[in-house]
Amino acid sequence: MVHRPTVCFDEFVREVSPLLTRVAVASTRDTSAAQDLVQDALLEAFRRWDEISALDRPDLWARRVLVNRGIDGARRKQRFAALLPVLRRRAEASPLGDTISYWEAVAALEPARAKVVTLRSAGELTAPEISHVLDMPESTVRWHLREARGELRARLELDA
Amino acid sequence: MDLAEREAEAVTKLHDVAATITPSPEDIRQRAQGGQEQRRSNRIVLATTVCILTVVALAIAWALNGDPQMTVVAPRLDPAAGPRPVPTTTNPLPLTGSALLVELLASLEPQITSDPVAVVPADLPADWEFETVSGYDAYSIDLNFWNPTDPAEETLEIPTVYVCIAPASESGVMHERCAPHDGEIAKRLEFDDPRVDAALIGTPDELAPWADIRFTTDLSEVNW
Repeated sequence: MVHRPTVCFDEFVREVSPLLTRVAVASTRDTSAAQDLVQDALLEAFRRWDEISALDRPDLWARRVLVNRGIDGARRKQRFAALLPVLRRRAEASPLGDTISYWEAVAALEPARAKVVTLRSAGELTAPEISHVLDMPESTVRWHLREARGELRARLELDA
Repeated sequence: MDLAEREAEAVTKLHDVAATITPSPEDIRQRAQGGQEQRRSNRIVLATTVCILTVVALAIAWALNGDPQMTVVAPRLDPAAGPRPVPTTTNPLPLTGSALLVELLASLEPQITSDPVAVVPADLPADWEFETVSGYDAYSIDLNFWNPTDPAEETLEIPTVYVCIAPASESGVMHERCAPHDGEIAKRLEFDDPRVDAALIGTPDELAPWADIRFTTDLSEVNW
């Protein structure tokens, strides 16, 4: 993605909301929750637009807000073991269809790794951009991506 | 299918799904507008609540600091000295939650002006004691009679006890004969009138100083 400085809020929303929405759906596997997450993140940006618009990359700020809330929130949800049957039923009815298993496997990774993979796959960010969003060394980002491949293969029972 | 293919398939589907729910700038502005209206509404509710609580707090403070209508005195009278209308000791009623509420309500009724006094029955035997105890709420009062030298005493017959509720213009009379019980005869007199803020207990002579009080033995005449 070629980035250019954003000065208008409407333009900012049109530019970032598709990517944010993909990250949110991938994180939550739930369209309603994803909508709430994206709108909350953009609403916060709207309220603090004077401050946010002055950043070099407002889109990365919004993505950081969203991915932290989204993945952490989804993990909290998973802790409620009693709700697992309900979550499974929701997964079966998910608009993501069979592909939800991939995102579930990503969400099952350890938190930092899940964020890295989600930003890479759903957010289409490069390693330097992920490093910026998560405030994580770029080498660590690349290590997480490498490790995640092996884990995802195992979880999805795929061949190397 | 390898991992790359699985990921590509998942991302493609993700694009399709996300495209249907991606918010527009107008969506965000509308939600921000709705949030402002909600916050404005919340501020109005908060301000109203604060006003109501302030009024209630002021009313309670006024009731507590005003004329202590709930004070009841139960002086031990010497039968030989005759009626003694003016009490020398005071025993304030402990205020329970409901009593406090009733006191507040009573304080809001300006026509209640009577002195809250209890007078011991003049013909109570000298070796017996009598006290009034606040009831479990402001509408009741316990009358306890007992013989401290002979707790087993069970034969005392209490003479007529008149209980007049205030104010005098709304007075009523209750006529009770108490039954003995384990050396202590207790009787709770209950009032249903929320305007009651005190009770006068005694014989007509003892209550004479409060001249406006009228007496009756017919409970049906009592306007509770």
